[in-house]
Amino acid sequence: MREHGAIITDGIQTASTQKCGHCGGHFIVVKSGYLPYCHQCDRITCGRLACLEHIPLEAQLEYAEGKKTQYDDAIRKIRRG
Amino acid sequence: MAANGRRYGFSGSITGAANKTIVGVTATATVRPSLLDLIISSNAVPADNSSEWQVMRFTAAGTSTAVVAAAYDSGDPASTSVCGKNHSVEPTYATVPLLDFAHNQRATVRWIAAPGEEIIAPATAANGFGVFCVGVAGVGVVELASIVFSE
Repeated sequence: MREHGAIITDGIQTASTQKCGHCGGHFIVVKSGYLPYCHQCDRITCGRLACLEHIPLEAQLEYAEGKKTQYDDAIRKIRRG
Repeated sequence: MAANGRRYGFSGSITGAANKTIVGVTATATVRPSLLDLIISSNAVPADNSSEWQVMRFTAAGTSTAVVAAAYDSGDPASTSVCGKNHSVEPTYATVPLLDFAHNQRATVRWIAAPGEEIIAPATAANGFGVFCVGVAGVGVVELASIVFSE
């Protein structure tokens, strides 16, 4: 699995991070851990409740920029919690 | 593509405290800043104090000391994104951290993004990302943060 980021402590890599395809956040990968996967994005997600539904990061950025996306209703729903 | 954008760097310093922002980058309507590289360290007298740090997006930039970020290519213009450090009024953060880690004061921690996997903020005025101290064990622990971002 390609790492999306690395954490380096005193010059030695101590962890890898993966980027969630939905919120864009990086999280540390635990080797034995379950990684939620979005087949529509073909990417790993962070597994937070708000990231379970397929809402690509690009759509969320465009929504924040005031552009219309096909995911607007879903984005409003997750922002309401 | 963030990885091919113009790169800029700057640093900030705070005495570690809960809910305190050390550096922030604010977008404008024309650029999406992307965080490529983050280094957290301490120049305090060595001791075993831990602190937790998060990178979060914000929707209001708060008040900070303005910083002119250095361009990695001296031929590039000044950054369009607005950079700040040592916030006196905290930004209004989203609830979800984009990166969350802790470090011992004795250790220098660096996070780097793979090309194309940077932490991105939308091209919206007053939106951006900040590096935020969630909490620190110990008193008077001076922490430093250096970041590289592209736009």
